[in-house]
Amino acid sequence: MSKNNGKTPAGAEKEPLFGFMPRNVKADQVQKAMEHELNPFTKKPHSAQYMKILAARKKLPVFAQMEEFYNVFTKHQIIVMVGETGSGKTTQIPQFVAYSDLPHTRGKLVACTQPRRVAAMSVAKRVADEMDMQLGKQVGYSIRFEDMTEPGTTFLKYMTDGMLLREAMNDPDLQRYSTIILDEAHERTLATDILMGLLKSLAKRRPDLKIIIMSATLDALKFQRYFTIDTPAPLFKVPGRTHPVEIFYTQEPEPDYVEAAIRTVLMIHRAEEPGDILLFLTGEEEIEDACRKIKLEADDLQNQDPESVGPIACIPLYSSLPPQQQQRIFDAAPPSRSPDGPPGRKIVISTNIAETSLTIDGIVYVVDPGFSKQKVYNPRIRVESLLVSPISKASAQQRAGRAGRTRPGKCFRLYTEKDFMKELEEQTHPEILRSNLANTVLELVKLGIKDLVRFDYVDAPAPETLMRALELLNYLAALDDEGNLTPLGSMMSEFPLDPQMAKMLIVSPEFKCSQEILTIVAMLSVPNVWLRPNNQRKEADAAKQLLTVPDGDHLTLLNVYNEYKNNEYDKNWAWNHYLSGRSLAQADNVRSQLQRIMERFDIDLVSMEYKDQTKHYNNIRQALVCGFFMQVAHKEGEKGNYLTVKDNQVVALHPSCGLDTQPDWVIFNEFVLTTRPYIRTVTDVKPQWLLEFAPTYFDLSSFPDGETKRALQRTLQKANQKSRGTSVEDKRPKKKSKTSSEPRR
Amino acid sequence: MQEENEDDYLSDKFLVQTPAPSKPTTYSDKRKEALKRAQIRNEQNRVKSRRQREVEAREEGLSKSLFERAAEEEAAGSGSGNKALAMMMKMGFKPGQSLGKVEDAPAASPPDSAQGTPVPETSSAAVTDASPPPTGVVKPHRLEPLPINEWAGRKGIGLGKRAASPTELEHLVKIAKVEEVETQESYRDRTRREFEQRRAEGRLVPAQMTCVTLDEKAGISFNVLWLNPDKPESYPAGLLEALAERWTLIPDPTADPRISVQERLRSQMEADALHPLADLDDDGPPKAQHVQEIMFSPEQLEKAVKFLGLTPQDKLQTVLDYLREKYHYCFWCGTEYSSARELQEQCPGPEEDAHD
Repeated sequence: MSKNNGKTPAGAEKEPLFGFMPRNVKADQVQKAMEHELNPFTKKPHSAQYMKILAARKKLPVFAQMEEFYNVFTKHQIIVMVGETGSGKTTQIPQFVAYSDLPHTRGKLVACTQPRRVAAMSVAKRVADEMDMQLGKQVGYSIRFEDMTEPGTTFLKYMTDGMLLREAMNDPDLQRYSTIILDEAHERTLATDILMGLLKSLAKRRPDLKIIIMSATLDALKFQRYFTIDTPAPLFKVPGRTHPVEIFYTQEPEPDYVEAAIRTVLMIHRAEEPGDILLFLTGEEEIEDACRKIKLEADDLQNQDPESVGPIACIPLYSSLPPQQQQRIFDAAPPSRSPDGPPGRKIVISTNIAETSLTIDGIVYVVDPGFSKQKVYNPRIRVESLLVSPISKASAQQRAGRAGRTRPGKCFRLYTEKDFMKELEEQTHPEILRSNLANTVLELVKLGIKDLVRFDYVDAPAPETLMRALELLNYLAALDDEGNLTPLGSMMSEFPLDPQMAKMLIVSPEFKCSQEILTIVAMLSVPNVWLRPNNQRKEADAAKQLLTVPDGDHLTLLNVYNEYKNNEYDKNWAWNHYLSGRSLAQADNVRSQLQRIMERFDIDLVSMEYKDQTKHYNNIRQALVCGFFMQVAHKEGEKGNYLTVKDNQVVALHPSCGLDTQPDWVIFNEFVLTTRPYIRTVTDVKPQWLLEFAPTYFDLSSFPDGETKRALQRTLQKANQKSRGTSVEDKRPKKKSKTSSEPRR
Repeated sequence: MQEENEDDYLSDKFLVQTPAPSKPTTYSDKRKEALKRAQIRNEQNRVKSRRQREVEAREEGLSKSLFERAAEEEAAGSGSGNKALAMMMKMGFKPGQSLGKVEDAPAASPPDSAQGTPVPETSSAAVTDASPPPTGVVKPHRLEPLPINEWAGRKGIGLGKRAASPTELEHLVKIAKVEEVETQESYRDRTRREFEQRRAEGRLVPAQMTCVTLDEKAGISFNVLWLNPDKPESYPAGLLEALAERWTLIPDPTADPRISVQERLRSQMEADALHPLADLDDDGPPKAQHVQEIMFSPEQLEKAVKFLGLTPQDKLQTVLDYLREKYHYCFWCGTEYSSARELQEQCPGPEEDAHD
């Protein structure tokens, strides 16, 4: 095309980017370069597919505003951008920026962060296609435990916000990047929030760095205010491609929102025009249950009145569902049973992952009972609650918007308008207010942020949450009493893990079990490996029983991985034993990544697996204590109650726990509040280990009075008597205790 | 072991034995028994319910901030103070403040000066500390962790409560207050309603009398608006029978069942009543004639039923509206105006309140 264009300067024939001034390009230049027969970045001819995709891209709302974008981008360092889903901002803006920054000519990168791993991967793939490049070369992605980039070649990188934060740890000025785009900032993930704080101060130090904050909602005003340093950051708006959505409320509050939701779905199916339905519920069980009920009722309706009621397909959607089943939401609605019969309808019943993360085309009706499950960490009793609670107004609007993606839609809210105004909060609380900050604090300290109290948070967490994080890091010897990072802490921060696990991994060679601890940590870092299909629970439980190690769930996880390995990583073996092959494969991948980090720090990979199993298991359990001594529960009375140490919370062992007895002392991986307070992934430990390997935390002179303290005192007495009686040095090498609780140098 | 014995004493076995031998005979015995049982059940719950213990432990844990806990531990003299808190203090934190950047640092300076100043000022400084820094920021940063929301079952929004995690005592006080207000309100409402009803009943009698007078003056022989269930004499002869017949034939589901029963009874009584002999002697034929004269149309009956089904207030309102409409008569003024216009101009309004 451009060959025959008389106006094209001579150099432009071989060089699509001819005449481009970095950071000062015009939209028409870029459009011309995009239509050039050579790829501007690789200089290879464009494929036929490229032109086809380009034609589609031109229809995106954001494409129409390219000129305006370049005007703003050229003039300002920080831009706040609002664009509804469907505007194309996530795929297009980073490409626009690449044409302006020309990062490949300067050895720089453009980064675009995503809150979710899946989004980072799929958007990178899409953009690589759009730019006619191979994924992992010029366009790549980087997520925890998976780096699909090629240093030196990649200039456009999609990554999780957490990964960028980790990179900042070792490169606080983020020198590699010419522009950083924080996408989906309205989701307010912990890492995005911290990054905003870092970038705000970084902007002063690096005037050449451009920052774009992209958000889908009017939260943008808040970001704009936040990023007003001297002059206000400009707000750049892109219209979405949405249709009006009519909203209906109930007249009275609903006594049972699930029942009301089912009724509403059936009402829509019977009485409304064709179009798919999206129903929001809170969790797996509730969703599967509703699916069954709706299917039954709708089939009944259809049998009674085949003339006017069409067939339905009920599709559940929640994050623990395997990916091939998640794909079912993109299936077409079922066909009508007879040629001129009523059309079929697809009903997707989802958790709030369909609220922002996944877009399902064809949805015309949304049923919103107004609830979701939310994770909230409370520092006072160190619990992570996962409870059903009312959504925010912003969430409700987001849900309603899902009905208007393809054509005008309807949203049925199962609450009154008055309650919408009165009972719902304005915004969902950002993650930083709902999370345990131990990990983040360690990262920030590593980054060189000394003053965590006066850090410029967009929303500051509760002071007590910071206090808990500092307390944990201090007991783990990652921070000294002054709050300075110790060498051990610095090493811990290099592991993309919770500090407890990093600590455990680092001390494990002293217990001759670093191979095993590595496996356990990898298994704890992946989604649940146990499958428990609804109709085969008994069989699944029996299969699990065969793999269970009665001393502790951590050991069971180790055993599962070893069996998986012995069976040559066979997916079928996993399937036959009711294990998730995907999670196991992931665990194996995570394991090798962590192994590389260990090798970098010369942490020996040792094992004494084949010598003495009891001793071997004891060693592993002792190493676990070195990381998790602050997560201990003590049995109280004979009824199977446990009390968490120091916080005195009455808890129960989670039903998934495989212990065959109820040991007096256990360490746990998590304390969660769901239907009840549970401790999950539990291992039997001995009280003398607690006293030995965590003497500061279990310092009895400062321990709160109570049954737990008395039990520890008895243990101490017994140990003293024993050592006096035998007069020989204890069998356990004393060296261990010293090194493990003190920073390694 | 002792605990278990106590459990046994309070267990169901023990309970089952007591009522069996002699069944309580009097009401007060029964009541005492029920009270005792409730008390025992309470006691049992206190000993047994793990769930309750979980909740109590949680509430206790959530109600106390870590700063309070640290202060208590320090007061108890155990340990060397909280290291994490010490670190935060070193970074410039003071309990009662929120985290985050301080723009004008008003919170940072007062405590220094407060050290030398008398006590009252220190307390006021503490108050300003707790409040957000007076900058352009819309929302102050958090002082406390987010509460744990526990939603009860599957109640829809508007029925459950978003827990603000208050302390247990606060919670109880709040509940007690709410209940008090609720019961007070409902009592007030009820008395008020009853009062208004009685007043309307009282007013209805004179209003209907006026109506009868004016209607008769206008030559109207029957109007359903004359009917008053409390005054059987207001029913023209034959109507009750007609109504009774109608009710037995077509039970009207919309009509107040209470009234229909009353009416039916009354009509029944009237029908069954002994008639004085004089009736037969003197005016027998003419009366029978009279009855035949007034035939009630189905519409009239329908109207009568509807009117009788109204509340006293609505009955009164209907009668008054009729008077205003038909005779330009205002019950509250007690005046018959010559025209609608005069009524419009001279009467302050259709409501009683307008006539003060």
